[in-house]
Amino acid sequence: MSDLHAQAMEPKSTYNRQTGNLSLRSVLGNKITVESTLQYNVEKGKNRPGNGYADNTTSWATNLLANTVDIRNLAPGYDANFNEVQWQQVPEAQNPYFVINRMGNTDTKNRFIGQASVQYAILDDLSLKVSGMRDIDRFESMDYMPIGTAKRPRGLFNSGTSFVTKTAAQALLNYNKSFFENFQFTAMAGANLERNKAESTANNGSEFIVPDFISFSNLSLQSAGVGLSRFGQNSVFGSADIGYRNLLYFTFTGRQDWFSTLNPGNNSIFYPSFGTSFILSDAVNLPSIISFAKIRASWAQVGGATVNPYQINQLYTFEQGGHIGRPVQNTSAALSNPNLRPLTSTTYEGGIDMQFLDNRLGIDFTYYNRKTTDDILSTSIAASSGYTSALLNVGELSNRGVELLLTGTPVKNDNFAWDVSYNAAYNKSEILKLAPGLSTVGGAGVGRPYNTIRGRTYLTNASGIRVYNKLSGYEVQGPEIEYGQGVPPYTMGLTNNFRYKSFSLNVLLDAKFGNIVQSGLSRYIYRFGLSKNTLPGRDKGLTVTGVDQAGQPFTKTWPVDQLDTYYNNQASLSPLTTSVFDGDFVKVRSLILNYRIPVSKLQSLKIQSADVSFVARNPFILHKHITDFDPESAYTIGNTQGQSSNTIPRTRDIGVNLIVRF
Amino acid sequence: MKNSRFQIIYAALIVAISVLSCTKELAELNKNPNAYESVNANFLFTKSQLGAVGLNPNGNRFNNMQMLQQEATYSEVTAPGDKYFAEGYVRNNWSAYTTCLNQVQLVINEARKDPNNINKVAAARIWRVYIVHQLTDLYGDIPYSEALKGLESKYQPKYDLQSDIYKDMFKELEESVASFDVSKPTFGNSDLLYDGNTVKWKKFAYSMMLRLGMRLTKIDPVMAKTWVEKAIAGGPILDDADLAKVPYADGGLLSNRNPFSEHMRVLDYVDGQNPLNVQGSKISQRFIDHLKGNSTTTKDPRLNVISVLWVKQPSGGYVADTATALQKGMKNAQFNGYPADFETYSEPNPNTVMRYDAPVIVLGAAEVHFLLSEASIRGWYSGNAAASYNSGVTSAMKQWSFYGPGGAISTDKITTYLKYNPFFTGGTFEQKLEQISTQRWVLGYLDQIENFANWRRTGYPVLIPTNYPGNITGGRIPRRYIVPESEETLNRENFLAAKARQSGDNTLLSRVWWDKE
Repeated sequence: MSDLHAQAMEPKSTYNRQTGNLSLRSVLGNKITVESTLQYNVEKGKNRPGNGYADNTTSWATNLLANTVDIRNLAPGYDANFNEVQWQQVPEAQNPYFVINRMGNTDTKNRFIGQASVQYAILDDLSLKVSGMRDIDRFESMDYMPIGTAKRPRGLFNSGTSFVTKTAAQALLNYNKSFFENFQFTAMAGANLERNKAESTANNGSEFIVPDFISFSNLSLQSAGVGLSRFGQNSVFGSADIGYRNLLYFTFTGRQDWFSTLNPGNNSIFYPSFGTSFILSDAVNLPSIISFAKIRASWAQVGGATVNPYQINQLYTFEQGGHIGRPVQNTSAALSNPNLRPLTSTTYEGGIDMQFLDNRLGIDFTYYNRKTTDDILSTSIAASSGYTSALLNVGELSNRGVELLLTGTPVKNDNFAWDVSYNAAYNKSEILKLAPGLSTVGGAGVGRPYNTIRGRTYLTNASGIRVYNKLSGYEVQGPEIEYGQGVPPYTMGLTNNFRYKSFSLNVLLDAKFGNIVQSGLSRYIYRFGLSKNTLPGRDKGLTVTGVDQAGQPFTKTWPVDQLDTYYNNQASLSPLTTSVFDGDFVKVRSLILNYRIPVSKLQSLKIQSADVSFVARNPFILHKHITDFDPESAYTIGNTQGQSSNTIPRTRDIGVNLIVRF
Repeated sequence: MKNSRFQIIYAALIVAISVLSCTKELAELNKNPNAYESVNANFLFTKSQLGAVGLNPNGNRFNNMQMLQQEATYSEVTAPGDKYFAEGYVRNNWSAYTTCLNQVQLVINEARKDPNNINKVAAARIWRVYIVHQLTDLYGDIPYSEALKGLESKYQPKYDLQSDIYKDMFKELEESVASFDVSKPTFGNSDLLYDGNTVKWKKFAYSMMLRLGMRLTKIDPVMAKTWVEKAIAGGPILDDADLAKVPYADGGLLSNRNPFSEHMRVLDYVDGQNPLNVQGSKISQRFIDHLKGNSTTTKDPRLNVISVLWVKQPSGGYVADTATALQKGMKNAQFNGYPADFETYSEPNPNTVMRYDAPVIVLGAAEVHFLLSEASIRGWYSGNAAASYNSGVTSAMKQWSFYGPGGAISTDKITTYLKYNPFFTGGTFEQKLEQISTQRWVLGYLDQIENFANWRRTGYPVLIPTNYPGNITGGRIPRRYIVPESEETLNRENFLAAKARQSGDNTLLSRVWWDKE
């Protein structure tokens, strides 16, 4: 059982969670084993902070208010008539105190997960296990803007519920046998059935009739909606393992899946795998410096249907209430695809695992080459086609890379030990082929990494001089270029663990290289004149020089009183120039100093062990190029990575833990 | 023992078979109980009509209405029309492709499956012309002949020349009108414009032909004359009873409200109870001064229908007053920040202009009469220019009665107005064109896409561009909308080809084909 109460950084924002767990196991006779686990969670959130664009957030004003202004001047955020007091002209840029004091949101989640299994030992070497599980999740949420909100002066209300269930049943037959003295054989066959159902309701509206009565019934405009989403998957699968004298192993697997989200005829896929490993150090005599050596290789396919229920069907909904007595149908801008096939990813992998000097030094190296064919993506298409996205088996993507793990124990004696572990990975992503009619996916074309961030620049002439629009005095927009990729190709981590008597110190370093981060917030920081890059010209005006569109020399001086307009519009013309950053970083992910209290001296308390530790999460960033925010505040939405926006800043957490075991 | 082993294998087989047989049930899971899987031509036609007239309310106001100096704002960011500061909302009409335009295409495709549906196909084709002409007038060369073929896996349509699009629109109108058959079924009341009345649809089609023909006066007067004459011979809308409008209703459903009223009242004017105005808007000085005229006799009676001043009451609160003397417009680009005298400027009348149940007028007799008057002064129409002008003014004033009791303008007032503002029969061609076009500018107050097009074509009324420091057009009123960047990314070759042949630009100052300098 656990109970958590958390107070967020933002005032009036809280989060509670209660968890209960129960595990049961009983053995009936010598043949039957029954196991069961039950879990029940209740989560409650209140006034969760928003993020993204300006509205519904407190962080917008916190991030963008001129730093000469004390933000507390904006309190309480509303006037005598409870109207929001705006801090600037754009109503979406809400007064943060108004957000805290007048707006609100709540959510509650009740989740129950139950599993049970029965295992029956048919023979000594043959057993059957049948299991079932059910996950029930009920979620309710509500949020509102009251009367007097500048953005929605008459108020806004949203509420919704969802009821999601997942049911799965599985039968597994296991067979385990040794024969001919040197061979071991295990085999497994099974079937799995999974069903999911999500029901939802939405009760939204706007224009409160009476102030400060936050209820769906108090709305002039109401809309309601229901949703039902169901999907399932059937599978049969099997595997066989053969081992020879603990030296050589072979594994074969095969699996067939049927997906409800695809049409019959296209909805199933069989995928096999084959793997082998060989313990070299046990087979031949190696130099004594090598204590262990293992070579492994595998070829594996995985099939999948990454598609939502109903997504393959073009649907035409009816508009609630119609139009003055006439039914109204609507369309979707997302193009469906009834002929969608499952995707297949095929991976070749090889690796070697070696230990040296009595296991004091270890190396584990892996190379992989994964090719995904028929990858399913909802990809953006030109709106002039009638649709903004198409659901396609987009083509062929490749991911190749290496992974390396080095472990070592430089010092080890009774009082002092030092363990080091270093891991590094490199992944190269490449689009190999695209579906007919597509020239890009995820911003990139054939030969480029998936997830490329593209955008405009300022136009320059052949000699690299900026081109200006003679009429307006602003830079001219240049062509779209590739800025970089949103996913870091290089990742690494380094753990050092020191132990001296009862003390231990664990330091984890994390690093990522080679990606870029596009920050929506930085664009606004620039446009609002909060970036150091907007300092030139503050005293005597800014003179820009270059050429005009006819190639003639161009110069213009922006007077001080027009600088804000200049910087604002300049950033809008080429948003990425001012908001794309090198995402490289090296940071101390965690630092833990632990002291094991000598409980043996307190035997009367019946304490088994006790530890007190100082814990720091994300305490330092050792290296980064981004000055305005943490490189890791980028988010991932669908296929888009490397985007960062207006959020509450990431935190450095420092604490002390005491763990006592009885 | 042996027996139980068989039992187990038997049970495993049962499990495997039942898994396999479940795959039929799997397909059933993928049917959405809350969505329809086919097009209903009637119901989707209604949606296409609603979508087309409700498209991009932001652009309608913050670009066109302010560029054409009928509204002003003290705000900066949201007002590309007032101060030409930003490119906001000039890409949004492109969404017609994924909404009303695609929908009307789906309606045509569906209706064509049954030869009995010729009236539906004809009305939908005419409606498609209506949507397309707005798009091409705003954006110039656009995807047309290859557009809307996503369902056929064509994702990168070429851009057609605007001249070719115009030729095809004339052909579409001509063919559609010829195909109507009164004995065949219609859209009935799913047709918000005319309840399926084919006679009225013919008039609407000829009115569109007249509008589109006249659009070409600068670029191709010969072609313009041909289609203007054809349209007049065919019979455009001449009676107020044939006016095309989309009805709306007040009540608990947002989608039933007039989209522009909703936009103005919910996001900006808020019934005059919030003196700040969220978007900082007021009626512009240029518009109010024009309506006021030089004296009480030349005053346009529409002033007191369109404009109110919110007068602060000693008891607190504000009351809307339509008195002529109180009306004052805010000058475009005069303020960049809340002015101290903000409360002294007029706002649109919530009892007429911003009624939730006001219709959107698509096309009516007023515009047709003004087009006939212009055709007459060009020698393309044998009727009397002054008579058509007078009919135009009369219809333009009368149509305000659709905006509730506050919109009614008496015949007396109209007669008086025409008496003191007569048609310049003895004037030059340019003076007459200016007079007719200025009337169309007032008529276009709530039809801003047409207003923008006609102003670009005729250059009247003369508007003095604002030149607020830092604006992005160098003090020029924008002449075009901007094709969204997504086209450059996702339909690159076709977009770049179209851009290259249209002066290599895709900016607010680019010009469409018929807008010859």
